[in-house]
Amino acid sequence: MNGLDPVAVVTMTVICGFVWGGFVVLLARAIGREGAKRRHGRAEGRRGPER
Amino acid sequence: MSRPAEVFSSRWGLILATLGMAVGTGNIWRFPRIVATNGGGSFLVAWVVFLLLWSVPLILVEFSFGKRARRGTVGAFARLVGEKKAWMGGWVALCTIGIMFYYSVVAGWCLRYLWAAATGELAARAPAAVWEGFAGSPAAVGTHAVALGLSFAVVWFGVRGIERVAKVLIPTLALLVVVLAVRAVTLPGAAAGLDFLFSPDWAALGDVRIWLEALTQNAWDTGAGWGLILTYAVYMRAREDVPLNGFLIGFGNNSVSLLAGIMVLCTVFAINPGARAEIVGAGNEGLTFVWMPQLFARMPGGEWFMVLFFLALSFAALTSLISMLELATRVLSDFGLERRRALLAVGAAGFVFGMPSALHMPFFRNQDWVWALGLMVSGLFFALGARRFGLRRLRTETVNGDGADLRIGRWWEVLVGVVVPVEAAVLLGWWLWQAGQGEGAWEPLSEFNVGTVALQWGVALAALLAANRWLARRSGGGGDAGPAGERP
Repeated sequence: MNGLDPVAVVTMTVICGFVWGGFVVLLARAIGREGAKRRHGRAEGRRGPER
Repeated sequence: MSRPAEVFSSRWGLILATLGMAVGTGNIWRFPRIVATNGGGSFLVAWVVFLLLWSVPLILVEFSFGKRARRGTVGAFARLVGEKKAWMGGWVALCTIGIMFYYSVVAGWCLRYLWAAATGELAARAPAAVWEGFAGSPAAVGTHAVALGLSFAVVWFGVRGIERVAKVLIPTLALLVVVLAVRAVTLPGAAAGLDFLFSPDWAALGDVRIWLEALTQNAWDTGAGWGLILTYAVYMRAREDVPLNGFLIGFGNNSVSLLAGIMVLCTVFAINPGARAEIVGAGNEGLTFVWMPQLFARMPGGEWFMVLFFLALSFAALTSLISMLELATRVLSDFGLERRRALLAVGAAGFVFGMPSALHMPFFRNQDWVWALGLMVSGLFFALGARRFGLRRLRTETVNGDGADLRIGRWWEVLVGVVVPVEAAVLLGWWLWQAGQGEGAWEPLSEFNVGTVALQWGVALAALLAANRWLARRSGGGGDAGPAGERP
């Protein structure tokens, strides 16, 4: 990026990558697990929200 | 049965409501200022470390306490830690309710500025004049009442009301912050803001102050140790995950903070780089209500972005205020009060006890100092409570219990049992030592000193200890209700 110190670019990549990347990975995992649980619930014939 | 009649309808309802609790004004107005005054990139390194060493471990404790006890903070400590420790849960509730009283005033300020931005008042008048004429005036009592009334209306409809509102406000808030951050980084000269934010000064990592500020910021902006996550966890489904949700809340909250830092600092550096020291040194209110409107006014299309900024800030404030009202309502419900009566009592108390902060800025600042500092003690109490309950048992039965999507290892027991208490002790010691220096440090009626903290904490602790048996009898009882609170 223009005008940015190379060390700042590295720090920005590492910190934003860890925090935002971490969030995206965790969110993707939660979506995947939730989908799997729903499919498993349907296979067991359960309907409606779990209590 | 132990579980409440109402639960979150889905995982996403729980996550969005909890993110709404965590993402507050602290992310948008405090984080950028604290990063800017504590070394930029060096601070961020310490801040990421404490996300893992303070916030996430305590978030998992709160989730598991709420899910297991199915009681608010007082009842959860009475049930899980022991009836003699109900006062510790009372302390957690008291600190957060103390914050609620003045946080409603802050939410009112945000709404007032949203109105002023939308009607063009901020563009037409000097923002400093708007602030001077408003803060501490009777008009601030009116906006305090409006903010409290809006949050009251949401909590009135129970956890499903909270869930419905979170499902609209939190995605909108995230979108607004992304739009504002993208606008900020595309301003000419914004690279200087990124440079400032991300350039590390490695020598600064040897300064203990940077680490302690990073820990404080994490404690405040993730909401770990406030008792709010515990309160929402009371309404978790029995087979709901704890560990993955806990990590998601911590990382999601800090993602918003990073965006807010980029948004504010790029705007400052692009629009008025010459005044950056003055801007970031202006305090939370000065930065947000005096400087940001001036910066937006000088930006092409700035009047629209100013509306979006105050809309985001209002949403962040309201979703956090909602969770504080719910915490107080939950505690009173556990005492046997019918839920809506409990909420009416909380709303009335919130209005009355928030008025001094609305009318008198020194009182507002004093309350912010005393009760926000108390959150460190709350975090410590959660760690000690979990230790007393049995960290291994809590981890294997509830954190890694039915429905868990991640497996948490023994490292969590070390963090909660050893690292968090050490962090809290060092932080409190450092802070009180700093504040205890100089003449008048122990004067009890001062705005910021050890004396005012000692007086108010002392009164609160004495009252809680004296009332412990009553607190335990009314809200706890029955002992542990099993890994997911399923046993009556």
